[in-house]
Amino acid sequence: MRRVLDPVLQIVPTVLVVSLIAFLLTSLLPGDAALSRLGLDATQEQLDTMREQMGLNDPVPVRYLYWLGRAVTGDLGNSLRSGEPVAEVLARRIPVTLELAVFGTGLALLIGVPLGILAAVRRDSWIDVATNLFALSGMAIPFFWLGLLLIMFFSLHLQWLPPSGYVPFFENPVRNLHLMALPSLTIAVAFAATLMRQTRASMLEVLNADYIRTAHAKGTPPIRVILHHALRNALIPIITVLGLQMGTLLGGAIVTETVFGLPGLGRMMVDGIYKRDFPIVQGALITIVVAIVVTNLLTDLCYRFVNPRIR
Amino acid sequence: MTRPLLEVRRLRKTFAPRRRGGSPVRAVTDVSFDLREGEVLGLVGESGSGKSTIGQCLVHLHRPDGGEILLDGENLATLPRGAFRRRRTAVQMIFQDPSSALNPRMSVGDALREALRLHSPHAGRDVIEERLERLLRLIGLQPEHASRYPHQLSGGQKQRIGIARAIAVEPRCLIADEAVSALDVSIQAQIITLLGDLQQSLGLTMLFISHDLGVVRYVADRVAVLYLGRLVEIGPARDIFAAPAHPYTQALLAAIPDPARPLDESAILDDPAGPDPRAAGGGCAFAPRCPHVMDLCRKDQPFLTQVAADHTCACVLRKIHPDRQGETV
Amino acid sequence: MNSMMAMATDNRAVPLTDGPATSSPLLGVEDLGIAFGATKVVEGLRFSVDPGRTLAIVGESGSGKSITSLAVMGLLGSSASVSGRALFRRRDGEVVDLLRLSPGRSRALRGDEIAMVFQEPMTALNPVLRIGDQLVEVLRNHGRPTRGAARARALEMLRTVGIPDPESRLHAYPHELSGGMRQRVMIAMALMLEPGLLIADEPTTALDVTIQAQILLLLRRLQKSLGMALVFITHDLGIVGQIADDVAVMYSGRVVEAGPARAVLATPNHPYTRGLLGSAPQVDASGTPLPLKPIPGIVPSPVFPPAGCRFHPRCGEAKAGLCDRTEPVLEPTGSARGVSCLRWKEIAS
Repeated sequence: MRRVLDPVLQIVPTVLVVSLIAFLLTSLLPGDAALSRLGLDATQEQLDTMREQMGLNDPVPVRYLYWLGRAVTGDLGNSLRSGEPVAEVLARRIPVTLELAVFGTGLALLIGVPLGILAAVRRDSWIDVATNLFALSGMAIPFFWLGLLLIMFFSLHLQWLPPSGYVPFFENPVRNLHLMALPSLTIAVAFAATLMRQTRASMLEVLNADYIRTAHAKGTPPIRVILHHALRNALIPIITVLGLQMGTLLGGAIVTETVFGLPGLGRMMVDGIYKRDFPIVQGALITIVVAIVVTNLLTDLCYRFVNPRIR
Repeated sequence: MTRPLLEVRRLRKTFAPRRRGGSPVRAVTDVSFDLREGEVLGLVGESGSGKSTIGQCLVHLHRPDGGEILLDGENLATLPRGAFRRRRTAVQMIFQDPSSALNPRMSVGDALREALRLHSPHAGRDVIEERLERLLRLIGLQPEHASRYPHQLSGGQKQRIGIARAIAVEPRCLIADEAVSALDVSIQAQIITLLGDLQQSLGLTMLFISHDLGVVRYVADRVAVLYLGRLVEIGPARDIFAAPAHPYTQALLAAIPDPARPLDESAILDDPAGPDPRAAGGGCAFAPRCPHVMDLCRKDQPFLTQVAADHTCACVLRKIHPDRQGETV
Repeated sequence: MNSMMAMATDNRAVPLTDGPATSSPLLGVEDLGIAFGATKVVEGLRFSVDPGRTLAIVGESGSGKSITSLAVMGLLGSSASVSGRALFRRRDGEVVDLLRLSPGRSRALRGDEIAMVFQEPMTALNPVLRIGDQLVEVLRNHGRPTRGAARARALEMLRTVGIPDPESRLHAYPHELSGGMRQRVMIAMALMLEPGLLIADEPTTALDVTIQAQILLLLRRLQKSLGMALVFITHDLGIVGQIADDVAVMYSGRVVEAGPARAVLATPNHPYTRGLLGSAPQVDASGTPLPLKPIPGIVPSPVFPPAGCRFHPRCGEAKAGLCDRTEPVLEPTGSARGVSCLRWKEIAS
């Protein structure tokens, strides 16, 4: 039990530090929240009252503790624009990004791991060369460009899939999947490329191990040697990469959501920045960081599960 | 008798448990021995006997938890790291795996030049080059080997370089940690012969750590046998091989592969579990595996007792003399 | 089939066993050649082993002994080109050439009728799979055992190789066992289906001498009780004396001397065998160590093998104009022995 509990407790200070950074970033940014709320024709008096009301005159540490205290209870403040509680905005936005991340990761695993295995097993063959080419271009193409390319090809040229928009999954699953296909593919490609290269590298190393020779000497079918004996060991570094890439994935989600007009966390943050809606930016930022920290925690637990030597 | 070159006194080293909740590993417990000027002392035992830990304590790769390591009367165990660095050429180590002990990007010549400079920082270029050539010949290689890199050498040649690097700084004493264990028997014989020749011509003092008494027999003047971190027998090599006093030493001797002698089934320690520190309880650590075990053995830790001149053994069979407890060997 | 078996016996230039001349051996390797591109690492290799007997293949690293065992197992990659024959008599009496089997048939034999134990017990077991699963897999590869039957067999084998508390070891991971224990697990795994032939490639080299003795004893006992043929690969003639009935000494990809182990160790004919013997720690009857007489130099690279006898550059008996020109062949020297040396008669007298 401590095996699970210890890493969970370890993330508390990380989240605290990140919340501080998120708070400082948004409160030190140029721009006046009171001004942006009241508009340019507000009088100095009105502005002063608003600043007082919003607590903007308190020293920064006080404001941080005040903000943190409320954040812990789930109150992340209200949007400066719409007045809607940030928590409610998040509740609407998180499912979109979560769906994008899960689909993207799933697609990346489905593409990257099998291709990596194939490239390692058929090393130096045309498959190896082709997959390597795919990996290099996949990592080199920027998200927004790939997204636009996919829209041009699948939406405008073939007219198979809609270019943008969002419908919640439980409202209309088919429509939802149609709409999510291109964004998911967009963020999956670069991720798949990284996973493929890692899979290939660790499979190559593992396939040379003594225990693989042992498995062959036992008369184990080649497929089983690869999937059961080799992949189980090769997974250890693959999982590490999976965890490390989460940040990149969510970064990609911000761009992708903008390109495809998805109302997710990324769009929320971008819009918040444009509109100087600081509570919104803080809420989105904290959520993304907590997501990354939690993913890393899950990776860590997964790692312990796959590798009996560090239990 | 003159003072020994190196005196190890009640050396202790405990490692933190590998996993949470495990018990700490007592690698070395109260080991005392002397290394006399110009002698080769064989330090023998199985994996987990603490023999390598002792060697590593001597070159500061580990810091002992207790006891003293006196080199020319100076205690290396408590010497601060900086002070030890100044004295580090005094004790040199030859490692088991010559491949990983050499820098793959450094030519043989450069590796040895570095060591030679460490010994005489102010020597001129020609002096170093001349010494390098002499050193290479001394270890049975040719001057042209200086330009080679480790991957261009065979295992035996790499180990020769490892030896050359160790003796280049003219150390007070050498520690060979399983220096021939990873080598083919044919190459092993070459290296043993080389070490013997060097010892003769240079008067080297050496601690020769090995699990193989068959090899130790060829190099050691005296032999110390370790079991689970404790010294169980120490004495002149001739005595140890002719009349091993401790049952464990007897078992080690019986295990030496000899082309002319079939396996002596009765003398083999046929217990798959091997040494187990937990199995011993408060008694003799070897009791769980000992063919001569008695009730007494499981109760009390035996003391090192004199069995012949310069030869002591820690076994109940050799009688107990509590008043000799802690006496140095 | 009969003619094949007859050839297997007749073609042996040197009958390696001094046992009764029965039918074909369990494994008869004839004129085995292994090459990687233009580099021939093994040439004209010939040995055979009978059920219930142990053949030791001895040589230094680079002599080609391990690669030979991989060829017999069918575990050499496609980069190697293999020639010659390795005739193996199956349980049902069929004689097959191991070098010409389809990958599928080769795999069907591996682990079932031919098994192998490797040098490094630390790395030869899969670190992420439990001991029990790795044992049971052998049965799954060659049949459809029930869970209970498979587990029972795994337990029985762990007990046979002397592993204490086998029930809990089934659930252990390799890193939780000592080196000697892991090698016992490897042996248990190899013997799950009671193969007719066990190839052990330096199975004790990485172990302490005490554990080495235990493993040798275990292998000898198991071999006797199962009546299997054992091919034991080692670089240490000291071990040969303890386990082998017959011995084939390899140098630079060829057999240079072969015969009954006791006879070869007592009166080696080849200078290389003498060199190996001189390298092994030995004591005389009174217990004083015999001086070591190491062989100078190292095994030649197969890329640039020396002309004539491949051992001549390291040989104290080499004669200029003869040994560096003419390549010797393995010739019979009487009583089931053979040597590949141009000057063995002169040296002997």
